Amino acid sequence: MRASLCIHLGHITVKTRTMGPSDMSVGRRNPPGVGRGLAVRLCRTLQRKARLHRVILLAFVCGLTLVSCVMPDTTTQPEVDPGAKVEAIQTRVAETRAEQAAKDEEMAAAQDGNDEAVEETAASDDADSALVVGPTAQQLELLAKLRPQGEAPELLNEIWLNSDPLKLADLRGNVVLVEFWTYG
Amino acid sequence: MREWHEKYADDGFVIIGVHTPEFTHERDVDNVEKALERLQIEFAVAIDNDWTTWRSYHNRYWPAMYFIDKGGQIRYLKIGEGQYDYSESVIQALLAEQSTAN
Repeated sequence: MRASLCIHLGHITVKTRTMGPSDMSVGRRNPPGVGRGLAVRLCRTLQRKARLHRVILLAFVCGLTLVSCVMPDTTTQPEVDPGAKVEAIQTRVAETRAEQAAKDEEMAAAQDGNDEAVEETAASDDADSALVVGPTAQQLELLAKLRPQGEAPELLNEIWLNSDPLKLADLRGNVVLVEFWTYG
Repeated sequence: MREWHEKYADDGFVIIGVHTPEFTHERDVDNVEKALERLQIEFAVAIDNDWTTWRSYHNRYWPAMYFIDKGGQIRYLKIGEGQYDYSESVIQALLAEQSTAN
């Protein structure tokens, strides 16, 4: 259909162009003898050109048909591709899953190791705490705030109640609370 | 105070009451002794009638509590009443602390 249409179009163009030289305006300007000769020459050349155009058009149409014949192959390819793609995706997913599983296993193994380590440290902490009770994290925080404000002055009082005279120097290793008070 | 004495005495916590009199009648040791009985105070009390300890501590208030760690360092000063929970947590922390002097 395209080819026939194109040929028609070519014919039309030839017709329209052949009309040009026989136009009255052109005829008026040139002498009648020369004009006729020119017209004939032009017609011949144009006819030749028209043939050339037809050949070119035919070649173009053939090219198009060829291309259209080849195209289905390229268009049908995607129909084949999805299956292959799906397979590729499936294999990729399987691979990534396998990798993830391997990683998970590694992580689990590492965590087990950590847990064991924690258990070990806990065990060692228990062993330590059996000897001396260390301050908790909260107590350490508090102790950090309780900056030493200087050595407590020695108690030099001679009269004591409830006890023999005490010296702070003898109470090292104990926590001492010195309270100034009056019963009044 | 009495509670702390009962609670932490076995853990190495010593309370020393320094009785510094404000008025003349408080200088009488007998009166102090009676007060200890009345208040059921069992911990050691130093009679600071000449204000020597008061002066050496540069103290200015009643009551005033000096919390001394195992190394003999003053770590916390509490002036006035109240905040007993915090003071008790200070005692617990100082008891839990490793001695730096030893």
